[in-house]
Amino acid sequence: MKKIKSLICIILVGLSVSSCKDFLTLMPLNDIVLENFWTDMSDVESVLLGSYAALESGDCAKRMLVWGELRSDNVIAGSGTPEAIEQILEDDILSTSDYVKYKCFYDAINRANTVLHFAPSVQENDPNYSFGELKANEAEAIAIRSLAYWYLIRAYKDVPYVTEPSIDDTKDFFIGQTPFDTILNSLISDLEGIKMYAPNKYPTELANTARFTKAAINAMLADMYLWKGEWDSVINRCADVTKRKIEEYKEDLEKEGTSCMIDLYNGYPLIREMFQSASGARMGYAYTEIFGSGNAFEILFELPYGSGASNPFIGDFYGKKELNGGYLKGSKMASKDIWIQKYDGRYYQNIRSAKSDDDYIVKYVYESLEFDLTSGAIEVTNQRKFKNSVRNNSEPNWIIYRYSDVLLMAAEAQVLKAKELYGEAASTQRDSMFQIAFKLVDAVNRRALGQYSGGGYSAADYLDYNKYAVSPDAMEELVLDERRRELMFEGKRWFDLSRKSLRDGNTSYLWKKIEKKFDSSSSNAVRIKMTDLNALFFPIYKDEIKINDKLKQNPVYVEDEFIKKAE
Amino acid sequence: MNNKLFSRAAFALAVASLPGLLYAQKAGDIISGVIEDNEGPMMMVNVTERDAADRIVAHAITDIEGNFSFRLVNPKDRIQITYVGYETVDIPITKLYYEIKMKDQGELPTVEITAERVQETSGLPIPLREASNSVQTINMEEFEGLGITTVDEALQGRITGLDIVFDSGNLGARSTMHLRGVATLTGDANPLIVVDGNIWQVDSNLENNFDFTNNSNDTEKVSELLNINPEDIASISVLKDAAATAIWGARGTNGVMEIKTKRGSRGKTRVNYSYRFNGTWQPEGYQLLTGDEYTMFLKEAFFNEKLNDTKTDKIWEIQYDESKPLYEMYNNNTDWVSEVKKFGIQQSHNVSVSGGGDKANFRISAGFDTQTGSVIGQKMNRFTSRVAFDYFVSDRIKVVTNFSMTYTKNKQNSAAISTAMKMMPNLAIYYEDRQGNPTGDYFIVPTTQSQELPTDINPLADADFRKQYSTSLNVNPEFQIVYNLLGLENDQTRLTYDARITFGVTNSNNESYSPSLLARNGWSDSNANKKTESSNKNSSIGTTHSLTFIPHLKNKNHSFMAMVRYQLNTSNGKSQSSGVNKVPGGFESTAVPSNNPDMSTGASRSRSMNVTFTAHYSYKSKYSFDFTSRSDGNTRFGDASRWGTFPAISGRWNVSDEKWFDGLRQSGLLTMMATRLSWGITGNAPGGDGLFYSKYSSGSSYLSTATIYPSNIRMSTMQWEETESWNLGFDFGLFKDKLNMNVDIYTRTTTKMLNNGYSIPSSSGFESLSYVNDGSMKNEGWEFSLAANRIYSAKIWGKDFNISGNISFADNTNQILELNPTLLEKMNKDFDYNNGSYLSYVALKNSFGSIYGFKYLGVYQYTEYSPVEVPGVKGPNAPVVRDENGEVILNQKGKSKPMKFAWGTTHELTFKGGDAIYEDINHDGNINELDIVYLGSSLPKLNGGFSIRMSLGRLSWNNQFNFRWGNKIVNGSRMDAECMYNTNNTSAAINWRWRVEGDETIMPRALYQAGRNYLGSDRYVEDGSFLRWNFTALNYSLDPKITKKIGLGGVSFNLNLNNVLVWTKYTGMDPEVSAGAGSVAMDRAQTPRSKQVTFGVSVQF
Repeated sequence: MKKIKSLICIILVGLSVSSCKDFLTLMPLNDIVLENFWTDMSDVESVLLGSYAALESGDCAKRMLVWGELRSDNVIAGSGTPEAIEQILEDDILSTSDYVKYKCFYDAINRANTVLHFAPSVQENDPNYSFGELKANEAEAIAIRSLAYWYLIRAYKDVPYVTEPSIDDTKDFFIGQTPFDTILNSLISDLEGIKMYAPNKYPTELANTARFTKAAINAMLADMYLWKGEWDSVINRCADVTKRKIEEYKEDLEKEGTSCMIDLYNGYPLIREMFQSASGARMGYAYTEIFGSGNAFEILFELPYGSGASNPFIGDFYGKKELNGGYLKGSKMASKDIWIQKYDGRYYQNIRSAKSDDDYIVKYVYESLEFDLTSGAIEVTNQRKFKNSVRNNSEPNWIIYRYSDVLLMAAEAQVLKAKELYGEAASTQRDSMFQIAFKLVDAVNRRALGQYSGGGYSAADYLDYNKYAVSPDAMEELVLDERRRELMFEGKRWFDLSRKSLRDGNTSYLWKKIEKKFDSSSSNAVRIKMTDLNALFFPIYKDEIKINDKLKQNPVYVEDEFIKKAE
Repeated sequence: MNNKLFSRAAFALAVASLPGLLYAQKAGDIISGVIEDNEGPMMMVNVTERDAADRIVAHAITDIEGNFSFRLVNPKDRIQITYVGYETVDIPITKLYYEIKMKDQGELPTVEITAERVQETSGLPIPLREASNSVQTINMEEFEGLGITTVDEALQGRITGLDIVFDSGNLGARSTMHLRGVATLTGDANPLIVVDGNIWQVDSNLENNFDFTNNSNDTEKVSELLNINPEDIASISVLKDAAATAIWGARGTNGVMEIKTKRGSRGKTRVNYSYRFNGTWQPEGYQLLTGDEYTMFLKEAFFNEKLNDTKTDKIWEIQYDESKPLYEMYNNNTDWVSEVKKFGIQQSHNVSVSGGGDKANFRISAGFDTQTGSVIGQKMNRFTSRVAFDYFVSDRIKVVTNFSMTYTKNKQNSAAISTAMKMMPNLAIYYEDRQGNPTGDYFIVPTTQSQELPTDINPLADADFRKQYSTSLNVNPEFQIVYNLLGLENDQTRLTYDARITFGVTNSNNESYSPSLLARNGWSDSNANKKTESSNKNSSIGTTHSLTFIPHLKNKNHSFMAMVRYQLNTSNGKSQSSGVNKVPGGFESTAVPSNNPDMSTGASRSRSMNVTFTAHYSYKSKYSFDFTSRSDGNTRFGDASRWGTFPAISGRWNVSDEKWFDGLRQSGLLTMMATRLSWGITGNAPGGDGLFYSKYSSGSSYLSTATIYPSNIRMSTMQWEETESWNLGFDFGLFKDKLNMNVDIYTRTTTKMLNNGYSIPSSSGFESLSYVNDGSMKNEGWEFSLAANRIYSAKIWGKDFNISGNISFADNTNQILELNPTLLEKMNKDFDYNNGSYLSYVALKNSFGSIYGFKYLGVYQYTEYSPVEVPGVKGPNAPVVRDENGEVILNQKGKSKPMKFAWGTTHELTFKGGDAIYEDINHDGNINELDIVYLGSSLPKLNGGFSIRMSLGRLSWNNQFNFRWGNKIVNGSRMDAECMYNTNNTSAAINWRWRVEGDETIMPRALYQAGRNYLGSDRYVEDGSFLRWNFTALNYSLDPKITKKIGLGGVSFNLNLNNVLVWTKYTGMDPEVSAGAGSVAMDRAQTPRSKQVTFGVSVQF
């Protein structure tokens, strides 16, 4: 029996060397696990940048373009257009379309939520991570999350609202939608609460436009207030941005002196279009800065492509170097109707008419555009040729907010504020608001006209205040048209039209604009569909509805499915 | 003898100092002596010194004069003298010199040894008649001499309830084995393979997952059984119910196949050599089109699409246009399939040496197989070696070492047949000169060839020039020590400690090289001079400690035994793959600098431990009870459900032991009867490691900075999938046990089913959870087997004539009892309007494998409808809407309405003459998903097999059959061969196709990339019942008297035929098609199983 005892002893000792639990705990070899992560501030930074990377991923950025531009009056089908794109262009949107999948935005949201969840504990443990740095990171994370939701609610109206990260399978993933207004209010209060911690600038120059600054958050807030209808808040947020921009302008002026390429237009600092090259006066400096080089003074927030990530969609959608056009091209309305000024350089910066009906998109496709001004100003109506152009490197940044957008948002708020006062207030009061609004629009417009070195333009070449101040509607139209001219192909137009329709409570303005896109056979059906304001939004992807019965399909699209099933 | 007395005596004798007198011996003294018998001194007698534990500590052999001497180790020991045929002398050591006379034993008394047959599958030596679980054992002697490479080939149809289906007939192809149905929706459902008590760990990554030439066929799995030479196998036991598999816990949930290898045994050293020659050839397949028929078919297919010739005119390859430079290359009648077939040869040599004595048993074997396939470009070499060595240190201690090694090198070419079937028959194999004479250089279709035509690479050139090898080396050393701590005999209380350590090393390597010669785009092709390499290295260490306790009970009515076992396993794996293309010719290495190198590495590790307790109790051997419980700890789960405990209880009642049964037994009709009942739970772990960790991966960089993102949702609530099984079995012995009958009825209910890829709303930031425990599933069925041992014996020509045989059949049904609607919907996909797809519809509480599709009614004769038949143009059999009575529905203007497909969708189509007629079940004039009906079940009503063995003297004849009855198969390969949708070569049956208005046929018109002429319909659903004559084997051994004369121990010859005949109505290559869980049985015949003839000779020295 002694033998048995000693034997059992040996076995037990053998066992106790490593306890069962330790023996059976194996960390994966190919990944980092939560247990070893979130230890210092660089971990926070890595995941925070991962959230930006999610926005930058092809899926997300492509949808910013598709959702914001495709249904508008700016674009029609180009060459080699896939069926899914064509369907959206023709407003025949199916809930099975790839472009109504929204997972990529929630990917960014989840990453931002993860940062917000773990960052405070990192700050407690890492002495090098200050409270200020934590708050700045939180501000960025909230801004990323808000931007993602901002796109989602403008595209779908009501969407599931998640503010906690998905870490564990114990979480309830099956949730319903939160109404548009609730989400919007929540986004605004989140941003207002955190924006004071957001940095004004980052240590590296590139980060100033690629990460959220206080100015970028203010711009996003202005946009949100504009949808909400709080005109004063729009005006205030825009004023905050302008204040910051003027500061930056002064810094630049001090540093660069006479070589500073920023001018004040009606008191607003914008990049100058005209510049002197070795062979004389050239126009196109601002274009090259903003759409070519990127990281420009005017940019408030953009997704940076080029180093590492190459832009995955501009080439396909707008066209590639040496090729004629992409899936999309400019519509007749975009190429003709709105160009009312003789010297508006933006025409060439948006559209190139190669043949009579092929209006290739220029914006983003060309890295730089130069127009020779030595023999006189170029005119929209006469010449449709580039004096000089350099082909694009196909890695343009995707701009989300820039300063001229902010100026026009402020103008829009001023007009609408005045419109509300219409009939009540004194006409002088209204007039002063119109004056401010016009000054803002005119600033953007004047920059676009550039200046001809051979001399200035005549007064008739500029916008005429008296022509628009006749009614609030005319003023509103001016702002919207100027927005269209300035921000064409930047994923803004459909949202502008949606906002206007929601404000009016009907889609008659929108329909008037997009009507020409449709041929007579389909136009009636689309018009009837468009009378429903829900038609401004996209359907929820079919598989999402299928697996989650708490999700409600947009009523405009429910009917379609019902008919299909009844067949 | 106490010490005092001993030393006193020693003193006295030292003084006397006389030889032969009592003497005080001490260690180191020389003991010597002489041994004689009645006739004088004896030579070669064994003299040994043995200690208290009967270990030999010193040893000597007598010389020619009978003298021996050795150095004493311990004076307390005994001296033992043995010689064959003489009585053993065993005396204490009392002196230094001995004179011993040996006594002749005379005639040896007859010794009767009674040993009960025992079953050791539970780790306990349980007498077979007390076994309460469901186990079927087969001795490999039954299959001796068969021309098989892997053992599953022999088992097909032999084990009741084990359904074996071969994935293809390529060399080394794996078989799918399902025991008692599939009880899981995730992972592999093949049974666990256990060799000599160790899990046969073959890396699950061991598959050719390399995309060599975009052939999906290359993902074929390699058989893990390839690493075990059938010649080394002694017996195979298949553990079926939970009570039997409980000892393997979570690993045994799909059943266990326990393989016992041969070991040495006491006796003369035996040398055995066997040689087998094996010839294989491919069965006759579909008859395919000739070149002329093919070009005609293509012209029609291109014409019918738009009813004009513009497309055809552009494709000069089918025009026989002599002005084209490559005209000679496109004017042939090549039978590609017969070009790639060949007569395959396998030769195998096996040598084994076995023997043993008092101290040790051993068996050493080595085998070498070299095999060429029945399709060109296939070659496999295998070298196997196995050493089994048992050393008896003493009565109490036994040391066992096993060593096995297998090396295989397989040159693969799995796609040759399927490529050959697609190849254009008008194409030349070799470049031809102006006169049409082949030059001997392979013709590869140029890139300039019309893009509509098939672009497959010449399969002959491919077989010659593409190199694709997979090699694997498997080494498994094992060391075991068995220590009897208490009694040694049956009538003593026994306690045995058994410790073993097992190492497993598997290295596998896949290599391929595809020269630019085979790349259509020449040097710019990404397949040009493409070299890929991948390797897997896997090592594992396992230790097992077990204690077996068998008390000797005074009351003989009771018997009890118990065992506790602790096991620990750890394994590490590393994989690496690399690929380069456009490497300079001649450098077949991935180390060559190249513009697009492709590299990836991976590492994995896993650990597990388990504690098993098992006990057996029997009363009078009449009532037996077993209990087993195993706790499994697994690294695949988090703390919460890391340990799973799986119990099983079973009992057996030997009814025939009851007194009242005596009468029956004496009648000789029913001589044995027993009933067994078992219950148990087994578990199943998910197929991935580290799922319960929240993982962070590195993502794309932002602002040139690396980013990190959370890449999964951790599975913290994941649990073991559990399968609860019941088994009720009856065993009968009939006609004095000449007939043995077993009947088993079972149910297996799987709960907490592991479903992978569970979709969740993407608002979570993720699309799915890796696993979710949801739903339950039930397998139920019965098994019947009847074994007849020498059912008929007679004397013919003075020789013994015997007939034995056995028959077994089984049935299994599988259904989902409950499942989350989302998961169910995921399995039930929407109708996709595409040709060739069948709806697989899984309904709760309905059996799996139902086939749904359209009803095929033939071909529309005419396009336009007319109430009366106008010859040539219009007629009644046209695509128009009809009501229930078959009357044509007319509109107000008296016009018929056209028949539509998928009206109102983007797939809309109007049927025309020559198109397939599908039954419009609901008479709505629209063929859509509402016209889909039930067409049959993929599951057989019955499957099984039988064998007949006859022997006449030393000649024996062995036949094995297997069958399935009552199942339907979707003949996917016929569908491909008759679809006329693409430009691949097709079955000659399409010569019966509809060509002009008015043709009456059941074969629709040819339509290139258009139409809906091969929708999933009953046209391709065929009866899959078959009876296969698996093999017939003749074995003859030479008369031992003759062999002795020439100095050999024995010589036997065998001749057999494999895959002799198949009786079936099925028109495909092979009716052996399995249906996975939730899908229909679809025959996508790759390389069909070949037919074989084997000749073998085995010689014993």
